[in-house]
Amino acid sequence: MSYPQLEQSSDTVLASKDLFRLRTDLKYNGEIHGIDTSIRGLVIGPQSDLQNVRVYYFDPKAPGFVSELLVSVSDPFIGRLDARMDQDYPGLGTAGRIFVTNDDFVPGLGAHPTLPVDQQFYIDSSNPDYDWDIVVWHAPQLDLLAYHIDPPAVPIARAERQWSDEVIIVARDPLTTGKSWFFYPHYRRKYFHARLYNGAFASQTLGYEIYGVTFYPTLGGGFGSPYAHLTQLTTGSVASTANSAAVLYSEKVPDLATPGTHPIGYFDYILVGVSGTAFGYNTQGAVVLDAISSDWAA
Amino acid sequence: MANATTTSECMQLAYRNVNHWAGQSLPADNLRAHAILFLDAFAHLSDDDDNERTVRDWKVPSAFIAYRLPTAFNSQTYEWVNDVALVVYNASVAAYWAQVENRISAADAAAFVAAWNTAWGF
Repeated sequence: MSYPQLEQSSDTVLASKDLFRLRTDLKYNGEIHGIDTSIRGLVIGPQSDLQNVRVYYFDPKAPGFVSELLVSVSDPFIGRLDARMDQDYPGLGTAGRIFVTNDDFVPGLGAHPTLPVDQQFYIDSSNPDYDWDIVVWHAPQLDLLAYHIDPPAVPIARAERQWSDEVIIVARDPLTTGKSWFFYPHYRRKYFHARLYNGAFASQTLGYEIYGVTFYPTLGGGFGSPYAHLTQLTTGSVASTANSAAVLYSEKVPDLATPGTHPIGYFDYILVGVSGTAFGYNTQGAVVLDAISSDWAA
Repeated sequence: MANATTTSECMQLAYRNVNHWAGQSLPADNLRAHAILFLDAFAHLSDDDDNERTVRDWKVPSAFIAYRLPTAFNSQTYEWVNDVALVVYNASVAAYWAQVENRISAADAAAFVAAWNTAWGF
């Protein structure tokens, strides 16, 4: 599904489906989606990265004729919510759809050439080599199941997510150090694991740093990007050996050694940075970063 | 003075300006009065146009929060800043990206900013 959404829940009703699936990558906060039929349950779907969604619906007994509810992975909504397409929200000129928006923060990405700086997220902008850094942003997905029938028994966990990224590093010149950054949507999952395969091709020891990231909108009227609080989880290096693999981080393991260093199941994103002198794609021993994010604590 | 000149500034000033009005205690000029004024920010956008509706739909969360705010209390309402500012922020982000992605016109964006300033500027 693209945004603005094209498919409506009335399409799945007319097709006699049991549910309407609202599934889309999110590009920024402020995306709002409509459901134009009554539903009998709202459940976070398996592909969702978001932990929470906020729902607004027509309620003639509420002030302003609007009520809201939160739906989370562990707290699905089971019950009836009516879309009132026969009426407008009084005084608003907006049809009585059910509205869904993300309750977790999604910073916008991507510069615009002529408009002023917006709520885009920048990293390491003080670094003069910033322009050379590669940033791989795995966009968060919204997956919400809106049932037209009584929902079956529902799981209270999202599906495990796994990513494999081939790492390359670009630098201003071959002798300087560059960094590549990989952002993984976590949204308070309970477990994260990353490992780096440093094949012989890179012929160098690679540095790494891992952060837990929480996002906030710009507060206090400062002009610029949203706040990103970075909590460093671990840092180190991986030697280059054919077929070598190094576990960079498992969310549970360091905590057993140093309990209380950071909360588990808290961060919006996990950020992994890999540093070294420049190297590109190759077929003889790629440098691969594997990551897993899961609701299930190992 | 803190008025927005662009949709970008609307979102960047959202928390600051909502916080300002939460500090006003007179019933005629408190947070609720300004939150209801904010509903006019969307009046020019069409509910029939999916491109414009991405912004206009924020009237519903805005109405939800506006009509829950205290009315005649002669007291400040800082405890409501988070709830109100998040809706104002999200609506402004929606307007910004709708403008970037050419889903609303420059005139529509300017009208949004003007109405935003009526509600939240000072």
